[in-house]
Amino acid sequence: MDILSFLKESTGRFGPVGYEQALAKWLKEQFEPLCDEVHIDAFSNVIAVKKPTLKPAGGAAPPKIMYVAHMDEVALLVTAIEKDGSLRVRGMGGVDPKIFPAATVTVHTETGGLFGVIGAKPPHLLTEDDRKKAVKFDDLYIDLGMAADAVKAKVSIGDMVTFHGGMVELLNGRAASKTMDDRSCIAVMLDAAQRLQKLQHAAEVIFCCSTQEEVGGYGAKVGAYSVDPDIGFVLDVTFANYPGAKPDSTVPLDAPAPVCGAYIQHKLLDKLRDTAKNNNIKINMELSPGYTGTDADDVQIARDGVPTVLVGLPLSYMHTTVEVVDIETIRECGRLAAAFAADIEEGWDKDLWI
Amino acid sequence: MKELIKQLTAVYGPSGREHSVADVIESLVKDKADSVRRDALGNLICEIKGTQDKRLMFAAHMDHIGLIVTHAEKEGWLRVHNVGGINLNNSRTRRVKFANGVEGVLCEQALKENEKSALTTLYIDIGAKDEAEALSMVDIGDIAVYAEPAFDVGKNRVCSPAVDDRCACALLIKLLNNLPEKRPTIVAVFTSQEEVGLRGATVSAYSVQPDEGIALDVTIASDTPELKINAVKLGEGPAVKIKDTRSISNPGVVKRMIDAAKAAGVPYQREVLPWGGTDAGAMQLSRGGVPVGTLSIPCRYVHSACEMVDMGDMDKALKLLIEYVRV
Amino acid sequence: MDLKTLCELRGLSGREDAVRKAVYDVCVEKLGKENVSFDGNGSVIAVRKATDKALPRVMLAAHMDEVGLVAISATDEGLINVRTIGSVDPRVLLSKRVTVGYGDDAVPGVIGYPPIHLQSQEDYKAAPKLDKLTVDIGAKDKAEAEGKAPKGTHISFDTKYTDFGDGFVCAKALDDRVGVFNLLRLLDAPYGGELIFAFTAQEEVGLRGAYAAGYRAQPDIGIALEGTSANDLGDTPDQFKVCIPGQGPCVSFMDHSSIADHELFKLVLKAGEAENVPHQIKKFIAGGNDAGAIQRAGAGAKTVVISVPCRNIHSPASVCCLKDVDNQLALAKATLKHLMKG
Repeated sequence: MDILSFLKESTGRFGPVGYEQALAKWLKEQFEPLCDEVHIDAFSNVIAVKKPTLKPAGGAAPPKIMYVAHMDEVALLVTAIEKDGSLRVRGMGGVDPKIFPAATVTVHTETGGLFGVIGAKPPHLLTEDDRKKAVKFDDLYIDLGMAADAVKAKVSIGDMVTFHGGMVELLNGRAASKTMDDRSCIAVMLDAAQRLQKLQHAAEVIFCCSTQEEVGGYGAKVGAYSVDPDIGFVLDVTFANYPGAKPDSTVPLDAPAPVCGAYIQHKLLDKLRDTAKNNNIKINMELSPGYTGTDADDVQIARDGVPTVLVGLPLSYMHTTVEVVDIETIRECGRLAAAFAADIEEGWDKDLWI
Repeated sequence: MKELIKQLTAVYGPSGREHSVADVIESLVKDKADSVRRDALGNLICEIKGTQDKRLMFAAHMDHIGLIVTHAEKEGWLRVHNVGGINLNNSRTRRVKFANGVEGVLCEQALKENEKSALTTLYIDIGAKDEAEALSMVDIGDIAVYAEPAFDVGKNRVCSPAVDDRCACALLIKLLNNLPEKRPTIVAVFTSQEEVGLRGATVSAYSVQPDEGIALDVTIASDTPELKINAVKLGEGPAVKIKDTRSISNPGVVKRMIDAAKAAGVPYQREVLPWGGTDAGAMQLSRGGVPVGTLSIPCRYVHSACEMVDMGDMDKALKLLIEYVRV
Repeated sequence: MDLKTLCELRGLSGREDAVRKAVYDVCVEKLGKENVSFDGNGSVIAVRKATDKALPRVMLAAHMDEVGLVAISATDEGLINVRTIGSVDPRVLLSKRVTVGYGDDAVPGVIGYPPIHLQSQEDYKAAPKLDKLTVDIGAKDKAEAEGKAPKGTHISFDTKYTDFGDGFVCAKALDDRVGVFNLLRLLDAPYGGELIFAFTAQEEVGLRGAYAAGYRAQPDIGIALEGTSANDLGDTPDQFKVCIPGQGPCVSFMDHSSIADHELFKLVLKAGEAENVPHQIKKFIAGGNDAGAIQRAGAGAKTVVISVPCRNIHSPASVCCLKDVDNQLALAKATLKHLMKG
């Protein structure tokens, strides 16, 4: 699978949280050649099903494993149009206002996209105090290069604003782009789906591209309800090492990072670690004592509970327009995900609880 | 519509104790509904068949905020905790009342130097001389609510406690009395416990199983001095919600609401609320997911004893909803 | 299964295995294997069918998990860095004994602190921060510490269950092994309707197990049996005492996760009066519990909480009054009796 070109295309596609409808249609097309059945549900989740290739011995229903990665991206939305035609904005999902001075964006109006520049006070006019202050949302404004009347005719309150940040290849097999969170994990799922074309598996494997993760795991919650899996396998980006990071809060960029913690079924995690060992996949463990901040939180308590594992794809500079991932790590995550699906056999849950 | 709002805001019904409100509303809608029921959390669920199978759920919450008695001091003062979003600014020296009719004054104790205001510095004075007398008048666990009566302001506005969300209950009742002939199946849910976490809507949506959910609620009007929370003004029409902290309205629903406003010939506003949520946030997460939206009534002084709405906005909201529902 | 055994079992949120096994064995013994199962979060669900289907279906819930610590990494000197599982105030951790790991691999450890003689004025006055506390198992270097306590290893308080004073007990995990203890004693409680006994997992990290349990069972009524915080000693003003050990189990009208169904709340109080079970009302709104989850699972349920007052909750040395534990059982039985009266 050409991961780089998938990343380049997918990270550029419009899909802010709550507005994933068109992106879902495109992702459906990406999974169709690799799965038996793909549909889009009421929440715009893409649900792709690959049926078992091995029949269970006793004729029992095959175990269902659901992989989840989210398709939505953080963005901004227009909250006010000022008298001078500039736009005020707020975040859609967790966005740091500090990354925006001198950034360029697209404002998506009913009649099309408009190029905008987020202003920055010229250094010559900054006081000492100004320089020390962090930029807040109330300080930001978007310049559309048009007079107020023209702006008001085109732009409405609530219009989406997406960031500019096309993919750039860096050294050592790394790439930077906006929205690697979490389209790089959708790449993992596609990679796994491709590997499964050549593997035998007794489990029914479902790939779910979820929506609205960035505001609370909503797509995963309702998607897990509909799919009703036996096992949840969530993929989301996690924090890669950076200078000055608090100890024990980040992981190296170069290996998948499965998570241990209260929400993770510990025997299922043991099984995942065995799969990694048997396939020579290097992993670094990460700890989430409780709440993980990912779709796993919602998958785990769907219906009457779902034993769940969570694997992190390390990513640097999360929620900026220059998120960095390691392509080889994406491949290793895909390899781990596929191998784990193939390792789920009848009786997988025999000793799960006692 | 105004009289209906005044009738509904006068009924006692803080979160968890909405049965009286449900009784009044039920008496007003039962003739129009094909079925009426209450569920485990006291939601009032009214179903009216339509010409389509599509199930459209409307949610307007019956509960309003209050203060629950946690303790009676030796001197007869009642200590309280908030039920829903109580604003300390709105809670000093206010007239309050309990379900059994006992009235009192909600006050803040005199603060020491450097002591900060908090819920724990509030107390209710019901005129009891000691703990025993206080507990003979009310029980621990009873809930007090702001007790101002509704009153008219200006040409076309009304002020009262509990306008959030009884004005929307009134709107929903009026809608049920004015449904177009060709329409989906309407499930009108007068929900409980919205103010403490959208709890009524969570369980009612599960049993109703709607195809689409519309919450009817107030939103903050930012047209008072120095307030800049959003761009919504009183008197400029109902607001179509784009986003708040609990839900992002489905873009298709937003479009259809705006189309309905145009079809009805009424002005509308677009609303983004930086904090706060409505029952839409709960309906959307039910079972396999539900597309949702919220139609908001602009309201000044939300969560005070003098919540103010404009009757013009109410009438326009009704016209919009009738067109929204029309197939 | 006695309270001492239950309190001394180790089972932090997510790894309730030891408690789960103990509970499972008792449930199977009393109700039969076909009536006991695990749900997707590892809660133990035991069902006793109704003899009178007209009566409400009641779920009784108590959570198996306890709070504690978890290893996150080791220092070069062989000390273990920790985080908390559930809500733990770092100030109760200084100078305490712990057990690192489960089963045969478990080793004892201690949480030390710099000696008072060598603390600066500033340090002496400052509260300890969790990321500066470490567990010492006597390891000589990082490799040995990581070998014995790899990332994710649970670390529980090491407290011997001790009877003291006039009918008081000091133990870890009274929250909620008192509830589990009583729930096991309720397996044969007189009631004609269906009873669903939910020994839930992961309550302390967000009421996780109870959502699943409530969803599957869809009861009419949910009663959570908990251990709750008593704050009655010292110079606490009356308003903040919450409840008082020795005055009976406390019934809550509201907490952060639910408002009790008002009629059900009044029924519990009335049942206590009628059956002469000492009880009190919880007089502060704090915390959340399984009732909140059960109330909102699926189509919803009417819920109420009956708790044993526990001092020093979520610490190595919580304290409760044994009479309150027995009266929690009595009040639950009284409630079931009055539910039958209709």
